[in-house]
Amino acid sequence: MKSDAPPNVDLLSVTGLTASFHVKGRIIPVLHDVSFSLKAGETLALVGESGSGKSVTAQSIMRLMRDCSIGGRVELNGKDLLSLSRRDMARVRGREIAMIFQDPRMSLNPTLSIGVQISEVLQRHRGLSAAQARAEALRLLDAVRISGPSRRYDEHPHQLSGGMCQRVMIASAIAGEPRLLIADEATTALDVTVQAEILTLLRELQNETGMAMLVVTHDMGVVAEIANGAAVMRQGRIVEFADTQTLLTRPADPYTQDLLASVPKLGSMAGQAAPRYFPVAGKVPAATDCVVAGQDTILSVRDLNVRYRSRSSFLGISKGSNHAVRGVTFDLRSGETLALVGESGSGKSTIGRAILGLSPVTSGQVILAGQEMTSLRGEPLRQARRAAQMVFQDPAASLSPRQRIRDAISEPLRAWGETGDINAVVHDLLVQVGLEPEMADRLPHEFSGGQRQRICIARAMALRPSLIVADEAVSALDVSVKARICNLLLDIQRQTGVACLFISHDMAVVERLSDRVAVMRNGAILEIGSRRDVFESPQHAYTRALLAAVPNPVPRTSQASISRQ
Amino acid sequence: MLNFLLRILRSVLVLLGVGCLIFALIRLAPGDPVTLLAGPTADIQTVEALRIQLGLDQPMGVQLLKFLSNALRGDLGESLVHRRPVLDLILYALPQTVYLSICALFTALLVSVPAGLVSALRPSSAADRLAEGVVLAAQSVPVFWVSILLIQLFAVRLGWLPSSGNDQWAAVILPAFALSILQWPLLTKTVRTAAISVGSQDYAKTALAKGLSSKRIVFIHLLRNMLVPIVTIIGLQTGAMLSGSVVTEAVFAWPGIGTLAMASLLARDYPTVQGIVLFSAAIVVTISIVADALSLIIDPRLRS
Amino acid sequence: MSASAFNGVLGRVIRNRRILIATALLVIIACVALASKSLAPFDPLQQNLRFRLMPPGSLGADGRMFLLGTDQFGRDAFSRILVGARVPLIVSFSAALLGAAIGLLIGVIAGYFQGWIDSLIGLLIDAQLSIPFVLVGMMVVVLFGPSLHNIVLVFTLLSWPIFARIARDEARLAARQQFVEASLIGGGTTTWILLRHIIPAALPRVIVVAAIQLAYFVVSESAFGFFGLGVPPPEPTWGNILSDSRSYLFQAWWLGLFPGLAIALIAFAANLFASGLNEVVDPASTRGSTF
Repeated sequence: MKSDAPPNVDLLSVTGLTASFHVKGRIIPVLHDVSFSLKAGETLALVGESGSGKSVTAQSIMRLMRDCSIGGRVELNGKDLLSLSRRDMARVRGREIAMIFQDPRMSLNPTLSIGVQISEVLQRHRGLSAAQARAEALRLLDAVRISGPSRRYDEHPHQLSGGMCQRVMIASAIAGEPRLLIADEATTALDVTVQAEILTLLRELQNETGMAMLVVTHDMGVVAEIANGAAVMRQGRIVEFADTQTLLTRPADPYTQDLLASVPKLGSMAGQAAPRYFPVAGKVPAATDCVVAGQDTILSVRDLNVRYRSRSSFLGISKGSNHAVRGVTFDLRSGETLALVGESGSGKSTIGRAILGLSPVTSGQVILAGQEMTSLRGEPLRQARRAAQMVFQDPAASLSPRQRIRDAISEPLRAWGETGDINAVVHDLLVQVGLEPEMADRLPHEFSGGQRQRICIARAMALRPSLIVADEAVSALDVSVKARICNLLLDIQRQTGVACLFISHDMAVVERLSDRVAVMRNGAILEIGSRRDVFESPQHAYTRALLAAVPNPVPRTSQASISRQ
Repeated sequence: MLNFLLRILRSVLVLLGVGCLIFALIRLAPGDPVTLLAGPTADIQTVEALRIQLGLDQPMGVQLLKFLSNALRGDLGESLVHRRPVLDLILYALPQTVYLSICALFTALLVSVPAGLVSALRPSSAADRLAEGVVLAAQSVPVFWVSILLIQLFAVRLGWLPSSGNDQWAAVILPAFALSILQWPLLTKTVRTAAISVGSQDYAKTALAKGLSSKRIVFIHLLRNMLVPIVTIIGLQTGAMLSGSVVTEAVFAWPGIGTLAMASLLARDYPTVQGIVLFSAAIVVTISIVADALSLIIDPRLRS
Repeated sequence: MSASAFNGVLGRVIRNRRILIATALLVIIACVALASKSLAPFDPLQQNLRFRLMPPGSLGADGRMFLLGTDQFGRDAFSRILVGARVPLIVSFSAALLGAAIGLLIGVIAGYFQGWIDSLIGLLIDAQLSIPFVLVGMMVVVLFGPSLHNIVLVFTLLSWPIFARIARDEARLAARQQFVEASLIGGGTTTWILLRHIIPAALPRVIVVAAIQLAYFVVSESAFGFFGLGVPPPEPTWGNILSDSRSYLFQAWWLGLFPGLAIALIAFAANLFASGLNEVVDPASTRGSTF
């Protein structure tokens, strides 16, 4: 469907949009005077960190928020959406504006077949009969590149992968032939190669249908990949509104500049051997070659195999097994960072857990600080495990909500029966991770995500381990926070010479932080080598695909030509 | 499928466990179990005959096996008072209890579904506070006491409804209402939690974003997802319902299993009580299997 | 430190209005029950056939008022209700405490260790929960005799699975939490983790259920008494007072009304406590939905 509006007139125009949440009788403003516009067939990105109001803006346009009052004007082809009745608004949703969300598995109704979830839109908005809708839904499934549509039609969401679910969501979104598609962090939860496929699909569908897109994202790389223009949001305001080219090359606002500086760019380390700090306030990127890897081997993993058996909850009858780690071998020396990179299900996290004795090992050896771990149980395992500590992905979940951070940080010391001035140790650890020692008596919920991760790092360092396993430790953090936590890890490594096993799916962060890299897929290491070798001359086709799929925050040369059409 | 077979196997083990508990109970009691089972009026010959008939002269293990295998075959022993097989007595009273329970469940749903929905959709409204107050009160009053008050008001003072028995069709109203009170609190809470949780799911937002009609959103997208926890809790509540019907039936002289149980208990008719306990456990276990099967039909995720 | 302390769960407990009212009610009731012998205006066992079935507010021979009237033997109903509070309170508090303690321990063990021990405990819990509580309870009382400690024992033994089931679910959830894994990696032994992480995680829910069970026990104890299976007379209990009142429904409505209200008051206070605590422990369930 080609849009009937003339191309140089705004399709969507948002003027002075405000929004406030009503929480327990209090009114909390979240959007202040947000204005932007979008022409037919174009793609605009709303970009910002968590809490910037980008999702609220998108959902306010659709009027999906509850307990929230919205002001200002939202015009679609000159029609003010905010003044429509609920009934009329329901005719706009799905028909003129469609929306897809972050978590595709949760966004589909688990009890309805995927076919029904597409054809219900066709029946509602295009007045098709059930039989016509089925035929059209099959065509749409084909259009979003789902193979064997007629076989898939009656399947339920839980039978599909995350990427497939997002394709189904897209099919149901374009079913109403909308003029505008809003994608709210629609690729954030997906693996990087799947994200690349979905972004390509969205671009192709846009070319076929001429719909405009409003893309909400935290990822400057996605902005560069898909958007003609972008609005950078911070604390409920738009701080900069520019075309993508200008934004990425000559950002005007200091916040945008800082944000872009914090974003790790793949390839920016070319020619460098050692890890480097991120260029954030107070850290100069040059002259910060970090740690020189020591000579003693801290960790040796030999031919490690982990096989999970899924069992019924009752009587533990085996229901099949899953080979999570296959024949993995590597060494790690003191002061060194080895990155395990791979997509979900590659087995990288399982290795980290197996090293610490948290996952049962099927065969192979793990030698930590000279001690073979896999044969140990109970107290000897606890003793041997002391040499290694772990930092998890979600700092909120890895701190007990009931424990003051003094107690959380000192727990390992107390668990080992350490005597002496524990308060002094906590004080020093807090200083080391860049927190105020006066904060020691607060509870975790009083801290931000980045601060919580600092607390977790302090706890991990309490026992002066020789190995830190960082399992996606910076993945859940906002870019600017992510850069600072990475710098903290480098700092600590330089001060203490601790070795780091850095488990991550984020190629750009890995490029910054690691001395050596192991690329994993389906439980096996495909290639392992120095960071430079892996990033600059990848040997394996999968490594190359992985690197190519990373959306990089540099302008696409083709982008300008598309927008001028 | 394997899961479901294991589920059934587990239920059989649960029933065997109940059998063992009951078996142990009678034998742990002070005094000779045969005297208990034969009743206080029996003479020595009858007692000894019964001891041999019940196999109580044999070792414990053999007794337990015999007891369990008899129970599995439906032989729950003979009533001391009625001199008839316990199973016959139970099956005779069963339809009345089933009828009363269904009426009570229906009444409970009539109260709990609106109350739960109101407090989920309009939190802190006057209706929410009223619903919460009613539920808190229901949770706090002794049902037998409310039953007496109901009888006094509707049967004695106003004379609108019969006070006991089941001779007239209207006789079911008071006991069903009283029995349903027990169900209100948990059922209301379940409806409320289910509504809140389903309403805050991403797919609810998707349904809204698709511009579907409110009717379709509520009945096709939300209701079905709310059913699983509600069906589960109704299944789990069967035990409490049977417990409640012992008291309620006795107060209203409703001729079901509860009245039979209470009368047998007060007459020290242990074989009958023991049989009713086993039979009730079997009902509870069966209904929870049925509830699980229904959940499987409603939610395809549970099938894998 | 103190400013921060009141931001935690404890602070929210202290500031919760329901918990405050419920706790005050329960403390007052408990104190009254403890001091009931000296607070009672009359001897609850003293019969006076001259003043049989007097309505509330009637005056006795010495000019003292029968606040809530008298029963069929001319005993003061108000004094009997006061003194009659002791048995239900002792029974329900001790049974809730014991049941919660036993259930917490067993449930936490099952939920944390899982495996065969969990399967076994799970079977036992299901077996017990599938038998009708009231019927088996009454059967035990008939078999073993209706003494105070037998009734406490019956309630405890029949209710531990309810606590165990909750504790098991909570422990299982907690065991999967990352902070428990972090504690394990930090060198926490099994006992350390159970005491410092798993039990504290399971405890709030167990206390909520304990309050609900407390209410249920007060009500059940009176039901036992009502059917003549409670602590036997002459000791007055709300159950046996109500049982006696049954024969005088028409002449003396007050005999049946007030003990029932007393039972409802305690149960209400306990349930209010549970609902307040639930608000604190699980704020998500008290929030509204998207629609």
